[in-house]
Parts: sequence; C-alpha cells; structure tokens
Amino acid sequence: MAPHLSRRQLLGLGGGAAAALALSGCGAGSSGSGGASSTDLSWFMWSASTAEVDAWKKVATIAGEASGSTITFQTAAWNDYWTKLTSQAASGQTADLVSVQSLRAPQFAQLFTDLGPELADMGVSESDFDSGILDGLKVDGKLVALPYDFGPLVVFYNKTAFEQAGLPLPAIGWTQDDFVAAAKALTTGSSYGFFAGAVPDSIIPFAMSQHGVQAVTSDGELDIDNDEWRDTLNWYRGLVVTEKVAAPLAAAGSQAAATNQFLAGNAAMNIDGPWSLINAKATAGFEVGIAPMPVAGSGSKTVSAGSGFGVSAKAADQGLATKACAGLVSVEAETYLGESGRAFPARTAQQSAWYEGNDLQDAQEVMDAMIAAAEGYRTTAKWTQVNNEWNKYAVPCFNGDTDVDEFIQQVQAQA
Amino acid sequence: MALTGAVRVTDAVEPPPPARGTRRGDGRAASAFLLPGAIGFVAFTAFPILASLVMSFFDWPVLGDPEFIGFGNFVELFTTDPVFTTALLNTAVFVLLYVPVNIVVSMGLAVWISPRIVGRRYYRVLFFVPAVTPMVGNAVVFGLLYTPRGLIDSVFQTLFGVSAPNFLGSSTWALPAVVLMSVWQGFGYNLLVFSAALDAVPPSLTEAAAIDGAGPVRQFFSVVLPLMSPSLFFATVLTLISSFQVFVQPYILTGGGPGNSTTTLVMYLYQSGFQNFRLGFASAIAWVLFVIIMVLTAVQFLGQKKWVHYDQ
Repeated sequence: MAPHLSRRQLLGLGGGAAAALALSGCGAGSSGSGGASSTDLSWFMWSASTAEVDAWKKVATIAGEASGSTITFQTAAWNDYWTKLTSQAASGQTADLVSVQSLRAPQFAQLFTDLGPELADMGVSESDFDSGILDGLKVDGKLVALPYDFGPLVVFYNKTAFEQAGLPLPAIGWTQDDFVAAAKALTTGSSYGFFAGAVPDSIIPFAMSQHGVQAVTSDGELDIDNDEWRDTLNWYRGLVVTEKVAAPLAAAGSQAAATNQFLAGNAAMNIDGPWSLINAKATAGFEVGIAPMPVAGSGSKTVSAGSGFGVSAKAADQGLATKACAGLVSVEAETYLGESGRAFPARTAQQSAWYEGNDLQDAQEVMDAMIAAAEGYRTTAKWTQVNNEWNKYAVPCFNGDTDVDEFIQQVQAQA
Repeated sequence: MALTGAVRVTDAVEPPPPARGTRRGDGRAASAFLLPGAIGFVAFTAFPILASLVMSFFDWPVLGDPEFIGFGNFVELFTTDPVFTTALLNTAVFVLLYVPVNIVVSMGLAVWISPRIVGRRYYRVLFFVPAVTPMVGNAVVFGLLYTPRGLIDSVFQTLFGVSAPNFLGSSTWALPAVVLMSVWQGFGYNLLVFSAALDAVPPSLTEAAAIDGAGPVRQFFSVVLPLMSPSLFFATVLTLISSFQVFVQPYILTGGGPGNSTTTLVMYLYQSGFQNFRLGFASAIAWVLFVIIMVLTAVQFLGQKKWVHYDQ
C-alpha cells in the first residue's frame, strides 16, 4: 500500500503544482498591461448591443490613432459592468482606461488618476466641456474622468396621447398645475398620466423645481431628512395615492421599468435623460416629445448627469494612457458619437452634431433651457446603497402602505 | 453522526465493492483521471471556500486595504444589523412555506399520474417543463402576471369586479408571491423523483394490501409511502438545501423589496458583497448560512433513522 499511496500523493502534489502554475500563469497574463508591445492599452466600457460595441471600437480606433497606441476594447452590460469593475479593482487588475458614470464617480474615485494637472499636456481645455458634467466628474477637486456625454433629466411625453386628449403640448414655462392637470386628463382606463418611478432620478428634478434641493448637499452629505424633501415626497406620493394619476408601483423597479412603461404607452409622461431620446423615438409606437420640468416654487430646475473616461491609477504607462484618454473625448470622437446618436456630446461645440445628425432640432430649445437650469447631479460614495434602499422603501411608501417619514428614515440611514 | 446515515444510503443503493484488492496500477490511473476534476475542485471550490472563511474575519472593502477584525462581522450580524435578522426570518418563512408545499404538490401530482392514465408521459414532460426553463425567464413572466393590470389582476377584475392585490408591491403579499412562483418552478424535479419511486413499488404489495381489505388511502400511507421514504428523504434534503439558497426569484421579482420584505439571506449576501462592496461581511453571512444548512441537514440525517426504510 505504501508505494501506491506515495505515488498518489506525488501525483496529487504534481496536480496541485500544475494548477498553481496555471493559475499564476493566468494572473500574470491578464495583469501585464504592458504586455508585448509598450503601446498596447486596454479600455473598459459598458455596452448594450453589438451596434454599440462597434461604435465604441470606432472610438477606440480614433483615440488609438490620436495617441499612437493600440486600444483593446473590453465590455460588459451596464449592471455587470460595475460588479466587474469592482472585482477587477479588488484584484488590482483594472484596464488602463476606465469608463465611469458621474453618479458613481465618488464611489470609484480612488481607482483613477487625477486628470486635472495633466490637462495641459493632454491638450485639453476644461472650457471646451459643459461645466456641469465636468464638475460631476470631480471628487473633492480631483478630476477622475473626462466627460463624453451628459444630459439634464427632463419630462418625456407621449405627444400622440396629448394631441388625442386635446391637451396643449407642454412647453417652456408650463407649470406644475399644468402637469397635474395633464396627468389627470391622460389617466384613462388602460393608461396613466405619469410614471412615478421609485428611483432618485425620477424625484430629484421635482425637488429641485419645488424647493431647489438635491438629495445630496453641496458639501456632499446625503440630506433628505428636511421639510423640503418631506413636502416633495408627499406631493410625489400623492400622484399615486390620492390623485391616482400614476400606477401603483409593482416592485422595486429600475429606471428601465419606467422607460418600458412609457414606451409601451402605459404612462404618458416620464422623467428621463436625452440619452434615451433616440431609442425612445425609434421604438415607441407614438410620437415622443421632451418638455422642461414644470415650473414650481423654485422655477423649472433639474439635475444633469453623464459619463466619462478616466485613466486607472494602476495603468503602467500613465503618459500614453492620458493621451489616449484625451483621444476618446477628442473633437473627432465626440462628433462621431453625436452624429451617430450614441451620446449627447459633453463638448459643447459638438452638440450640434447630435441635433443635426439625428433630426432632433425640435428638442434643442428644451435641451438648451434645461442645460442652463441644471445643476450637476450630486451623489455620495455610498450612492449605490442609497439608490437600493430608495428603490426598496419607495415602493411601500408611494403605494400608501407606509408613510414618508419611514422612507426618509431608511434612506437617510445610508448617509 | 451525520455521515453514518450517508453511508447507509450508499450501502443500500450500490452493490458491495468487490472483495479483491485494488490491482497494481489502478491508483495511478485513477489519480490521472481524477486530476482534472481535482484541479477544478481545488481551484474553484476548496480555495474559494477557505478564502471566504478567512475573509469573514476581515473588514474587506473592494477598494482599499483589508483589516482584521476577528469576529466583528459575526457580532455585527447578530447584534446591530437590522437587515440580517429580517433576512433570516424571511428565509425561514420561505423555507417553511416552500418545502412542504413543494413536496405535497409534487407528490400529489406524481400519485395522480402514476396509474396508467392516458397521456401520462406527456403530463410528466409538461410538469417538468418549468424546472428546465431558465428561472430568470420564469421570474420575468411571473412579474408580468403579478403586476397591477397584469393577467391575474385582469382576471380578478372580470370575475369579481375588484382589483387583485398589488402582489409584488405589497409587503404582505410579496413573499407569498415569490413562494408561489418558486413552487411552480421547482416541483417538476421532485415530481420525477417521486414518479420513479412510485413505479418501483411492487404491485404485488399493494395487491396484497387490497386483498387484506386496505382502501386506496390506507394502501398509500401504509404501504406505498414507507416504500418511497428513501426518495422522500432525498427530495426533502435537497429541496431544503436549495430553498435556503433562494436568490434569483426575489432578485428578479422584487429586488428584495418592498422594504426588506423579500430580502433573503443570499440576496442580502449579494447586496452586501456586490452592491455595498463589503466582502468580509458578505463572507460572514455565507458562513452563517452554511452552518445553518449543515446543522439542519445533519438533523435530517439523524431523524431519518426513524422513518426512512431501505428494505422492502
């Protein structure tokens, strides 16, 4: 028996060693961002379709040519992207160029190199970009990424439904009373006037218009435990509970649920951003229009959010990576993204490409007004938690099962 | 102690090993054949299990450095964390509702299709279809059924003139709705197990019982069920373990809400680890869950001596 056992043990040990070698081999392969050639860079970005992937690859080519590098494009679906980025960060193996949404910038800030001091070397001027989204990508003064797109949250409305109901189309200067009246008129047997989403994005623009407050103060603190928010939340909850112009919430839904309900014609109005506009116009079985936030106590105000590309602090060749990063948001890249309708360009001069390339001139007046009336959407480092709790506790609250104070208490606990 | 039960199961099912000693060279060949599996086991099972045990004693953020905190995570779970208690309770309620209903439904349907009824084979396939369709798809469809103005609501409106409850949006209804969807999804597997076990019951025994004057009910409970007890035991153990690990249904249907009314242990584990990025804390939850499942399985193995019969 003894020789058998020792042989087995030997084989076992050999197997273990082989496994260890294989594993360490894998590790070395993916961590070596320098790789064979010193001009190789990797870029991690979310995407939703092959058409989108092709567009990003085109941007990668533009940036590669501009910086003299070869950029490998890596991607994941939106939700998976953040999980994957997190696990990559945990193992210290992020791509050289990393994409980030402004709402998540505080959460991932420490992954990134501060681009602020590099701007002159990159040949980029801050004044070329919309200042709101540029601020949104700064965390405690550190510029984590250069923005490629952004947009103010606005009211999407079902133009066909408005016309059929004989209602005046919402225009600049329309008020909250007009909004509620329209929502009432549009609530019929099979559809509602508004989709009262259980996400912060759907409510913050109303809080801004009614009281000029966001969920996060300018000092970066989560603060919804105040009379302004209590008032806005009660009003918003009333749309479902008392006015009954919005559907009871079915489950802790996402922004996607709101978009789907709107596109299906079940809700005639919805809060959304311009990034959804082209898809909405293409998929909806009715005419889609956008309107500014209805005027309330503080005017017609909103928040804007967007995304950008930054350089990983772990990137081996920081100089090359910052050059490539500048390439990803270059005039050529932004014009391409704008024209093809992939993004509303964060470069102000290239925004016309979006309107002209996609036949959206009619949206320009509302967009300009809301961009001017928008503040950067402020978040905290724990925004994902805030968002989750918001989602979960807004459902019973807006359905009338619990009161606003309970909701505030649960969400505020994430401060 | 738990192992003695397991050994008995294999003893009964498999023929005794050949008396002859292992031939020279078999060990080597066996090792070679085992090696791919062993590598996979070490790399993807043993190592992560050990790693998660180590991590559970750390405050392990995704970004930044881990810090050793001893039993800190476990202490937080059982003393200060309000969600964990809710998640534990929700999981317990889910298990207590799901396991009996699943067993009763699958057993009932297996008995129903066990006689040579017409189209029996097709029923079997039909009942097994939910088990082989992806759970995510099922959950999405159930989400549409449950939603206000969805199919169930419309049927209610037509039949009774009142709205159905907002199943997934109500703290009272959400968990039962998740259980119902899970039962629909999960009973097919146990149905097959029970169906096979029923077929293995020798007709001579039921006939003998019938001659002795036992009615169908008495036959079932006194003859058929004891003969099926090994299958029943197997199904109960596996169903219990899998129901403690329930995740996809609440994840897709409710996201753990409304409030925390459908947050189960694995759901909370996922949220802690991959949304709140507290990897050490999530590992601690995983180990608590592991211990719960292990203890309950051990208890079942001990208890089986009293009611599971391996001899015919």
